[in-house]
This record gives sequence, C-alpha cells and structure tokens, in this order.
Amino acid sequence: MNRYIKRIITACLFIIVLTGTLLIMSKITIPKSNAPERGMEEVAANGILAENPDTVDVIFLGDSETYCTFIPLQIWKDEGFTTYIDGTSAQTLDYSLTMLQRALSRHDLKMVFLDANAIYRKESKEIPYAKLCELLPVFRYHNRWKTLTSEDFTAEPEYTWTDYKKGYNFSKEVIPSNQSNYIHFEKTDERSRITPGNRYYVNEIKKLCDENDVKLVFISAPSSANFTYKRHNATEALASKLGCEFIDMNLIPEEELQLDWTKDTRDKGDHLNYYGAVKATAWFSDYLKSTGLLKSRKGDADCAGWDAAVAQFEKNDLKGEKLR
Amino acid sequence: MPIITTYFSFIYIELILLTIILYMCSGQKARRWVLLIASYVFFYAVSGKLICYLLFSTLSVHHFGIWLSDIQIEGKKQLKAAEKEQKKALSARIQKKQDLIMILAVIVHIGILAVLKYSPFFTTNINTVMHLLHLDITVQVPEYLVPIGISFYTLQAVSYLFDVYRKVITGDRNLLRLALFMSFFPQIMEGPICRYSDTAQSLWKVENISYSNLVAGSQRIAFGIMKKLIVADRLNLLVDNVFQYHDEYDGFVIMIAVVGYTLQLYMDFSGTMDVALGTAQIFGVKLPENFRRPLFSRTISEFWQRWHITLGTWLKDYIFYPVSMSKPVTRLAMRARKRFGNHIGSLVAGSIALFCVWIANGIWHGAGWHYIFFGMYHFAFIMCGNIIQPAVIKTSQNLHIDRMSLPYRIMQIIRTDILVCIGELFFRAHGLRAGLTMFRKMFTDFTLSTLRDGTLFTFGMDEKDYAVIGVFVLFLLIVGIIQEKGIVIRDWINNRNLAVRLAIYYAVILIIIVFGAYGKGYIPVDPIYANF
Repeated sequence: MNRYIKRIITACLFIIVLTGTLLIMSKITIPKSNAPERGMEEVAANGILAENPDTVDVIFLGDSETYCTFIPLQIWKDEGFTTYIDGTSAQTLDYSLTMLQRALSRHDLKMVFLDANAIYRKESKEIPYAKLCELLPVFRYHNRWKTLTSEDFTAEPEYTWTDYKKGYNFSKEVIPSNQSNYIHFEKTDERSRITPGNRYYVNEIKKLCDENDVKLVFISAPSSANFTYKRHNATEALASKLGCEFIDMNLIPEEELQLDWTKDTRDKGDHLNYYGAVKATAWFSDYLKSTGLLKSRKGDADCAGWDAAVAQFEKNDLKGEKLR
Repeated sequence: MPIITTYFSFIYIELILLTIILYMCSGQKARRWVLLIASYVFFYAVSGKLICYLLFSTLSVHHFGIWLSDIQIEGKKQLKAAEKEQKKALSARIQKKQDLIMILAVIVHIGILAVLKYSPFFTTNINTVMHLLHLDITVQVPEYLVPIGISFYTLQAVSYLFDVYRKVITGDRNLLRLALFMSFFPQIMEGPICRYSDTAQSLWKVENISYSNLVAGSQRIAFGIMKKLIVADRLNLLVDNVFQYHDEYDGFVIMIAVVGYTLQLYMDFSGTMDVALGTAQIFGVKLPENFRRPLFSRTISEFWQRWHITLGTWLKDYIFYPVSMSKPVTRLAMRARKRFGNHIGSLVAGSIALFCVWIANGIWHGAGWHYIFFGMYHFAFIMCGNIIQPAVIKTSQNLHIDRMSLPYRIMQIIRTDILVCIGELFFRAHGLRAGLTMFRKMFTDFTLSTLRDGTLFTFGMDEKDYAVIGVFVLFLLIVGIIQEKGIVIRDWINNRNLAVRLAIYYAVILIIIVFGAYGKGYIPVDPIYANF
C-alpha cells in the first residue's frame, strides 16, 4: 500500500479512537447530579434543571447583573409568574446559549431576557472551544477528575437539586454609589463594538428562541457603574436588527423605579442590593404583566413548591421579614 | 480588542492548519507568499492597525541595508582604484559615511521603540524630578498603543543592520525575503530573536512539509501546551493574587508565590518557545533555541546562557563586545591592568560592558525602575562571581572540596535557583517598593501556620492542583536530567514502534485535556513575554 495512504488511514484511525475515548470520558465526567457537591458548575443557575418540568416560563441570561437585580420569588408573590435566573458570574454568551439549551430541554419557556452586559464581555470564549464543550463535555467538566466516584462510571445524570431563591443572589450590604447622576454623563450617538464572536452567539440565542417560539428581550439592568450610552446605542441597534425589544432599565424615569443609589447598591453602583432589587423587580413584575404573554401559575399543583420557597427565603435570608 | 492574544488558542491552531494546507497546495515561489501573508494576518490579528509599524520597520531596514551595502561595494571599488596614499583618508571617509547611516538607522528603529514604549516612563520620571525640585512644570505623559512583539522585531532589525554594517552579511535586495525574516509568525510575538544569517535562508528555501518535520513539530507544540496549560495557567490565580495583595499575606505565602511565579514564567515562556519552534519546524525552518534547562544552572552567569538565550547572545554581540572593544574602555582596561594586575584589569573592561548589557536587559524587559533593578541585581551577582571566582577556586582546593562532585553541584544549582527566584520577585512585583516589601516580609513575617490554616487553598487551587504541579515539575525534572545527559527524548520516541508512539500521543493529549487549567475557574495567564 502506498506510504501516504497508510499514513492517512493511521491518522484517521487515531482521530476516531481519540474521539471515542473522549466521548467515554465525557460520559464519565459529566455531573450525575446538579448538587453542588457533585461537581456541577454554577449550581444556583443550574437548579432550574430540577424544577418540575414545564413550570418555568421566563429565564434571565447574562452576568451578575441578572442575579442581583431580579427576585423571582417576588415576581411569583406579586403576579404568580415563574421566572428563573440563569445568569452567572461574568457569564459569556456561549454559556448563555448553553444555559438556554438546558432550560429549553426541561421547560416550555415563553420569554427569555438577555442582559446586555454579557454582549460586551471581552472574555467571550472562542467559538471552537464552546462547540467542543457541547460535543464533548469532557472539555467543560475535565476538572471533575478531582471528585470522581465509582458512581460516575455507571450512573446516568439525574438532576434533583434546586435553588429555593431561583437563582437570585441575596445581599443587604450597602456600599453607596457616587455616580447617582450617571445617566446624564457623556451622552453620545457612538456605539460600542460588539465582537464577531459575541454577535455570533446573540444570533444563535435568537435562532434558538425563534425555533422554540420564545420571545427574546434584551435588557440592561440598572447599574451606575456599567451603563454607557455607547453600549445602550449598540444594544438598541442590535435588538432592532434582530426584531427584539430592548429595555434599558437605566433610562426608566427616576420616579418610576425610585432607585436611591446611596442605599440600593451593594458595591458602589455595580450591582443592586436587596433593597434595590425589590424596587427593580416591582417595576419588572408590572412589565411582565403588561406583555400579556404569561399567566399566573398560582394554584398550579406543579408549582406548589414556590410558596414554600418564599417562606424559606423569608425565614433564612430575610430573618422573618416578609418579602416586599 | 485583538483577535489573537496568545499562541495557545484555537484560532492559532486554525491559522497553522490553513497555512499548512495553502503551503502544501502552492508551488515553491507561492509558498513564500503564503508564509508572508500568514505572518501578516497573524500580526494583524494580534496588533490590528499597529501592523503599520512592522511594515515601516521592514521597509526601513530594507532601505538602510541596501544603502549600507551600496556604500561598502562602492567604497571597495573606490579603494581599489585609489592611490596608496589616498587610501587611508578614503577608507576613513567611507567608514564615517557608514557610521552616520548606521547611527541614523539605529535612531529610527530604537527611536520608535523608545517613543512608543519608554516615553511614558521617562516623562513620568521627569515630572517626579520637577515636583521634587518644586518646579511648577508638568510634562504631559503620552499614551501610545504599542504593537505586540515590537521589542523582538526591533532587535532583529537592529541585528540585521549591524551585521550588514560589519560586513557579516550583505544587505538583502529581496524585500520579500527580508519581510519574511522580520515577520515570520511563530516568532513575531515572543521570539526567539533570530539573526538574518540563521533563518532568512531556511525561510526562503520553503522546503516540502515532511512527515518527520510534521510529527516532530507537533510533538514540540504539544510539549509547550502541556507546560502552559498544566502549570503556568494553573499557577495564575495564586501568583496574581499574592503579588497584587501582598499586604494580606505572610512571608511563607509570598515565598510560595515567588517560587510559583518563577515556575510560571519559565513554563509560559519556554512553552511558548516550544510552540514557536514546533510550528517553524513543521515548515522546515529551524529557529534558534531560547532555553536550555535554565534551572539547572550552577551560577547566575550560566543561567543567562540558558534562559532567553537569543536575547543574551544579542546583548553580547551588539552591546557587550562593541563596548568592551571600544577605544576608551580598552585604554582604561590597560591602565587598570598595569596598576592592579591582570585579574582586576581584565575585569574592568568586562564590567563596564556588562553594566551596559544589564541596564539594556532591564530596560528591554519594561519601562519601570523594578526592571532596571532586576538588571542591576543580576549584574551585581555576575560581577561578584567574576571577582571572587579565583578566591573560591583556591579556597575549595585548600579545603579539598571537589567542585565537580554531585552534592556540590546540587548545592550550586539550589543557590542559583534561590537567587533567580528573588530576582523574579522584583521582576513581577508591582513596582520596586512592593518588591522590597515582599522581600522583607519573607524574612520578618515568615510563619508556617498558613500551611495549616488553608490560606494556600483560597486561590482557586486545592491540594490536587498543587499535586498536579508537583508531579509535572517532577516529570520535567526527570526529562531535564535525561536531556542534560545528551539524550534527545523525541528521537527516543520516534524510534519506538507505532503502538508505543500512539500510546504516548494519546497519553499526552488526554493529560492536556484532563489536567489542563482551562475553562471555568481558571484564568489563563496572558503571554508574559509578549508585553516586553
């Protein structure tokens, strides 16, 4: 046989065996439960996997702004809508897409809110790496070699752990912002640059939403530290191009949102604290109601746990205080 | 935002694969263009519009090289035709002309580097002096975008011009060849710093991609990826945290971070060199080695012959020798020899040149006093070594100490590594003051209690991460010892049968995938040397 053909066959066999090995390793390393101690990443956000099937109607994707701004249990209490925060710290859009795929695999979503901050993250992972993680999860869970047990070699994944705060990150800490007047800074028509990689993922998220008949909305959470008109303009243009709504909560009139940047932020205006989140969520609940896309799930047997979650939140985090 | 920020990215692998395919599909002449276009695409992806600096430098070097060569050729002709008594004056005139061109060329190239990289440092210091003198004058500190790799390709450009000036080579009239030499993509970002006589011709040859080169190059790339992903990136959180918030940690944690940084720097830089040399090897180009197991050095002087070798040889050839051979220095050395004897006399010329080398070395690494301190630190140890060497040899002879015995050599290696680590502390610290504070803390605030209280596990690294680093460093130590014995491990692998070779390749790939510090929870270290 020709030497070159021999080498090509050897190379092909090498790749096939390698792929097979990586598939087996993926099966082993993938967490068998979404509990924190079993190696699941971003446990609070991935708690959605253990919510009763088809019980969550709305999810939030994006970075820490999402889990500091919106309180799903308050929305539940106010309107009976089921929302879940799938945003994670410094979330890049490839992971937003993964979280959306995971949520859609279990829930019949009606609306998805993508926080605009994530669109401008510089650390967005390379597309081939994100694709590799999808095809061969060992690339995402490779670090699980540290916590592997014999069960990982035999058991199938079963997700049972959920977060009673539905992804919300509770903090009553107050570190005032010294930029309460931030929306009046540097008005411009210029636009921030959205990298081709991030653009690609936004398109993928939109495509997936369309395929599943889900309304995608871009949202910019109130943040005196992160808001810029350049970003606002670029997000607005992108949303308009994709035929999506864009809500910039930074530009909501002060009297409507009633945020006090000397009291409502946990870290000098970067993120809202609980007090700020309550105000932002109140506005947001009204907005959700106004869309007419959601119905109250109160009384739905599958959502019975949500009232218990409210009680747990009031007991554990609010120390007996009532939620709003 | 650059499209490529490191050689350790999928996009770089894609660029290599695409270049290989285009290279293989092209004829010999077209291959040169393939390599040049790939190099410019890579540089554009790294530095964007700042590629114009590289293009300018290439055109300028090409022009100056030809100018110098033409004067040399013309001068030779004129000298041949000149009368005997006119020759001396004519020769001096030609030499003067060359000197002026060379000075102009150096001003242009070093000038660009100095303005872009060092003017903020100089203006800041001028402002400090003005402030100290209570003068109400403030010079505006300029801010420039500096193309990545400028320190590397500028040294290549200057070495080329000096070599033409010294008639080691003739000025290349072929712009394509020179452009390839200046911009070859595997080495443009972090070196090695190549000489025209070493790489230009092999780049121009554009040999067929052979199976053996493809395999050997890939092996080398994989080895580099292992170093970077398994050790350098894993140590990043520890090193970054401790150096940034050193006030919060005791001397023991600082010591661990200093050792960690030395390892990180070595793994990052030598790993990058493995990728650069491996990529070049695929295209049949042999780039000069930049590392030769530096942590096995017995003296600081030897360390610099094994670490960043191409920078060391550049400084030796273009600063050390010209300075030590210059008329004022040789005159001074002669006087010193007469007065203080041969040993001190010969040290004088060497130490003046050495001082210039280490100032240049420090400044080349960055615009900051701690880099200059870093250079002076090594200068001091090399100087001390030179001064006390005869006394040390004599004393060890008197005490019947075998300087070649294994325990003595190990002691020397450990001593050198400790000195290197301390040097790297100042190199990495956020300024000279921070470096001094950290150094002091290692002695005044040293406690082993942090071993028990879990501080070392608060950097996103658990005991298993430390174990991985330990095992890999041990593996590299064994590999290093084997290499020191002159055994080429890649030859050993290539001589095994196919099954063994495949098993090794699978093992390496799987080790990188499983034990690499990438993805969630890790922040890869930025290419450290690319910013110098």
